[in-house]
This record gives sequence, C-alpha cells and structure tokens, in this order.
Amino acid sequence: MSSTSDHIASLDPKHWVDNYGDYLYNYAYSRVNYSEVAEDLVQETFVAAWKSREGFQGRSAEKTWLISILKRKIIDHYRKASNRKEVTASQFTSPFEEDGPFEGHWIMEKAPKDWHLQMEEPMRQEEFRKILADCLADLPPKWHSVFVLKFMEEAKSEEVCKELGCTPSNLWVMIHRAKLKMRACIETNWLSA
Amino acid sequence: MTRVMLSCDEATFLVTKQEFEKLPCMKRMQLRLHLFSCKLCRNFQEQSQFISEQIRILSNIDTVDSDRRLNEEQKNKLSKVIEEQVNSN
Repeated sequence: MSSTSDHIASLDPKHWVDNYGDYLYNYAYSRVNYSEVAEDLVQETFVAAWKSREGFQGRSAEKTWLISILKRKIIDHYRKASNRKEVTASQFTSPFEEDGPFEGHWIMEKAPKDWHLQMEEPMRQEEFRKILADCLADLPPKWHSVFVLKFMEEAKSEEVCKELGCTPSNLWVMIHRAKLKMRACIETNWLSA
Repeated sequence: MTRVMLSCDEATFLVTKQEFEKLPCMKRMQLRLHLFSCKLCRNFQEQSQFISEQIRILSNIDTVDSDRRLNEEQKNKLSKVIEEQVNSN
C-alpha cells in the first residue's frame, strides 16, 4: 500500500502544460466553442488540480484525473451560461405546420431531403464533420449545453436537469428542437456545398 | 383519448427520445405506424441517428486538431500560473 504523499509525489505539475495542455484545451474547445473560455477552463483545471492534489489517489492516471476535473469545470460553465440566456424566437422556427389541417406535419420546403448520395461519399464525410462542429457551435447556449451533455458525455437526463435546472419533459423538448435545428443547419450547408 | 396517428412533430420527438430511452409500448407502436407511412420522418430518423453517431465520434477523437492547440504564449502563461501555485505552498 502506498500513502497519499506517494501519490502526490507522482504528480508532475511542471510538465502538465507540455503533457496535457493541448489535449485538455482541445477537449474543452470542442465543448464550449470559444477559445478564450477553453483556455480559462484549462487554467482553472490546473489550479484546482494542484489545490486538490490530496484527492489524487493514484487509482487513475494523471491525465484521467485532470480530465475529470475539467469535466466538472465545463459543467459549471454550462450552468452559468444557461442561467443567463433563454432561447429567443429568432433562434428557432419550427419546421412543422403550426395550424390548419396539416398541423404538426412537415412544412414542405423544410422537410428532410434525401442524404444518401452525400452519406455514401467518403470525401463528403470529412466535410460533414466540419459542418457538424459549426452547426453544433451555432446552437443557442442552453441547447448546446444539453446537447453536449447528452450526446458527448452521455450524461443521465436527471443529472443534466439537476445541473442546468430544467424538468425532464422540458429537457426532451430542448433536445428535440436542437436536433431539428442541427439537422436543418447541416442540410443547408452540406447538401448545397 | 389520444389520437392513434402521430403528427410528424410528435413522431420526430419520439425518434429523438428513443435514441436514449425505451418508449412505452403504445408509443412505440404509434411511432412504427407513422414511420411506415411517412418517408420524410424516415429520412429524419436516419439523419438523426447519423448525426448522433458522428457527434460521438467527434467527442472521442483523441488526436488534437492543429487549429486547437495552445500557442507558446498561452502555454507560458499556464506554466507560470501552475508554478505560482506550486511555489505558494
């Protein structure tokens, strides 16, 4: 059995930036969309890591431990962001008829087109990833947070609701709308490219 | 009383939800019925799954994008912050 001080001694803060800086920054950047915010989160992670070094049990690798701290920082960031802004009407228009005999049905020009030709072309998939990242970045902040937590972090709905303050039904409405918006954004940018 | 036929709005909602949770039996049947008769929602389902899958791939990419690296200035700043922390206690 090794003691806590052994674990702490195995930490190597002088090389954290060289060893994990880019990795943590890239991880944060893909989840918060702003380079400045990503940089701040990485800095906060390193500071928090050093302050809580007693908590490093050596059970996981240094990198895994740092990532777990960064994840926490990202969720804190989401919580702050989601308290600030609500989604405005200009950020989402429904692709479904809102009244009349076809209420709830696709508005023809907004309905999903066939993506088969594009999906089967490997060259176009490179392009797809870039467009996907841009469309994800374009979501309203709260939807973006929910989307990343559900799809990238595979967080449980209850956890997401607890962190961001929403009801489960409200969560699914947000995810649904975010998906509709993403889909439309990708179709506009990918199929016409 | 709920209607048997779902609207496309409801059907796509369930398609999204179904990627994460098992739907109640009745909803599942309604969704199958809707998808059977609605090509547009079948397109949606296929695309929705494709998007989810690609997002997962995106989040698991371990290699660092060249445009998502810290520059020297940022690295120096971070190193300095850490050094201060380490030296302060």
